[in-house]
Amino acid sequence: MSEVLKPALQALGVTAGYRRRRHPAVAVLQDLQLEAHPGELITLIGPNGAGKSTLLRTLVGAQPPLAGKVLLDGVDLTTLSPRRRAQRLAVVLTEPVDVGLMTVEAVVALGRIPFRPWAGRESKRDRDAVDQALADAGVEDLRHRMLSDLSDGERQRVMVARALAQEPAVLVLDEPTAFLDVARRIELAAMLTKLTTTTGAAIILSTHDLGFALRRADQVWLVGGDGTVTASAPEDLAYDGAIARTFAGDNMSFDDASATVVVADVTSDATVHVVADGRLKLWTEHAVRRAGWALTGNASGHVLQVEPDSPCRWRLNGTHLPAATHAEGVGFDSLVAHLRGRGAARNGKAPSPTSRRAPQ
Amino acid sequence: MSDSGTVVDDTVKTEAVAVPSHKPGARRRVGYVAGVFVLLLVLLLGAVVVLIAQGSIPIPISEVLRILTGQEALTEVHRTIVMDARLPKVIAGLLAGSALAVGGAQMQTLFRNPLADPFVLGVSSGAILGAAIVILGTSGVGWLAGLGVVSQLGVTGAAVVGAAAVLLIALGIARRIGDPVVVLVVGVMLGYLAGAIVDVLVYYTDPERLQALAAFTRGSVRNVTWSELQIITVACVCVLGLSCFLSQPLNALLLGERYASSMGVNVRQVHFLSLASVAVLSGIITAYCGAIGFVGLAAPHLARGVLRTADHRSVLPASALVGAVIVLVAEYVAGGNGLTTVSLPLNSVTAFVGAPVILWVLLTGRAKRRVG
Repeated sequence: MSEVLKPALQALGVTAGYRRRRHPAVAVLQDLQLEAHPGELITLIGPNGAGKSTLLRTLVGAQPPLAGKVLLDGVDLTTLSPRRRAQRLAVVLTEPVDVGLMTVEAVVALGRIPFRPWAGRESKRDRDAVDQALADAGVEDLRHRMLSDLSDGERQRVMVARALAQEPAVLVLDEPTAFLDVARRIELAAMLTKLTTTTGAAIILSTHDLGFALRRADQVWLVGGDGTVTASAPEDLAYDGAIARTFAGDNMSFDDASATVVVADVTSDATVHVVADGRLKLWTEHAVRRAGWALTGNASGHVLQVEPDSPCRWRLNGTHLPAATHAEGVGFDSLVAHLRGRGAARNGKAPSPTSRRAPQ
Repeated sequence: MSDSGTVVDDTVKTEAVAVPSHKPGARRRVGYVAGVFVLLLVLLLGAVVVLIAQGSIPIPISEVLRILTGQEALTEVHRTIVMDARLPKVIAGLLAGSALAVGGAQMQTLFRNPLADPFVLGVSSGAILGAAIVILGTSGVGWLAGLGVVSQLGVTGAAVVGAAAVLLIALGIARRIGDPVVVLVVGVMLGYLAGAIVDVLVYYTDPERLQALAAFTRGSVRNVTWSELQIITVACVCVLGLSCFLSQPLNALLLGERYASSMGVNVRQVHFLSLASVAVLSGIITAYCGAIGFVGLAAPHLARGVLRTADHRSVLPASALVGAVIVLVAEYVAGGNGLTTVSLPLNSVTAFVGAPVILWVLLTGRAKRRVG
């Protein structure tokens, strides 16, 4: 469907970077071909220092491209006046703002500045746009509260509402979840997903949260460390290993199940076959990986049976294994301790007390 | 007012069926802001009338009103006192208060620093330095008194340039350092530096002028003549008008420069216009009334506190009114009351308002805001 729509924002052969005085310009990203269509949620991911911020600044016209063009609704961004640009493109920045005494409504109304003359009054059109933005961002109830009294999550939603008041065709968010806790992140992510349908805007956001980037996005722009940006469906990037190559360094691997980068940590060559149901199976496998064991579908070696209970009961045995190696216990804690002890015994070294798995 | 208010409320209620409406709240808000402005105007008029009526020779208020409205005065003496001494003083005080307060309000937004103000950041000292260089370099006697209109303009221009120079240095430092308290200290140091240069200049010239210069570092609205008032009035009214046009971009700047430019605001242009207006306002006022301290700092905070908003569209005019009231009240306390024969420098009185506001801002942690 998105193919028939004209792209809202387009990068044509863009080289992004910095111009310096009396020095040659530094190109951070080369020859970019990117398209953001109306109603698309695009996540921009990449390691620190790869050029995410440079790309975002270039896409919103805060710094001119060193080569190529950025087109907003088919018009070269550098030919648009800042005001005209602000009528089609809005941004939400990472850092929290402190405006002093201002109600949420007044802050959101600031988004109408591009539509008003310098000393102009608010028109009905302005007020309607503010009402709509407050509703779309789900902050109507906060309308008369002071911005400074709100939590970080509420404040970030108000800043999204302020951007929506500009009625943008393209909404760009620079790490909007950076200062939020897990629940607020998910809330904001769900809200942004909804906004793509309610407002029809193309939403581009940079994030460090790989899981969110891959689960929610229609398109992922992967900024590699080598000056390239790969635009593709999240599944393509994950499946062909592009994400693993970009993020996984030494001792790291991309875990497909959890859609995130993990420490590659199979410290023993021991494998186990897990017999359990549903969520219990998932979390048992989690515990096995944490203990440094690998999982196998082959039931001829170690077999781990787990019965649902609270805490769960586990039994480790195997038809071809001597009875002396059979073990059982209660709770994941004892399971992990047991597996680690066995793994260490096989490798001939003491078990490490540290957790072996960490999300990227 | 209550009649029209009821009618409007009714229409709002019928609309409310279709739209879940916030408009009654908005109406109340507009009513509150209007009420604050009416109150401030009444206060200001009261201060004007009292300051004209009181003094070493008290004049009845009815007589004051007769003279001000252009009717026949009871005695010519009263008329002379009002028109030649007290009215110029009151107008000068009113303009000085408004100009410094609006300048301070703009500086607090530009510097993203709740402690910014023309006096505190040394802008007034820069203006004195500029003026002093021109005065001491020419053959004038005393301060502006005795200078022709042309040289007065020259001195005023030099004061504006001096103010602008300090503003540019302070803003440059503020953008690099960011910590409001450090910027405050830097501003105070710049002020001392400018003051020290003035002292040195005075020391190497005619010692009799020292007295005149000293008076100007303490602030006074008493020695302003009608011809000088014409210059001050025209300049201040023009620049205050320009400042109102800056309200909206200044509001955008409350979110920080990056947000402001993302909303199509030309940040450099707004900075330039706003700094220029602050330089003109504080330069002119300093040239004619000396350095009046703390008004530019306290008035905007009081205005925001009463209005419960940081919106420049109402904060700038409200600051102007509050600033004017502060200066007139300070002048009344400093010696315009006729109760004592002693006349204090204005700064001694404004410090009583300004210093507590600085302390309050520091202690409530407002100075710790992030700088974007």
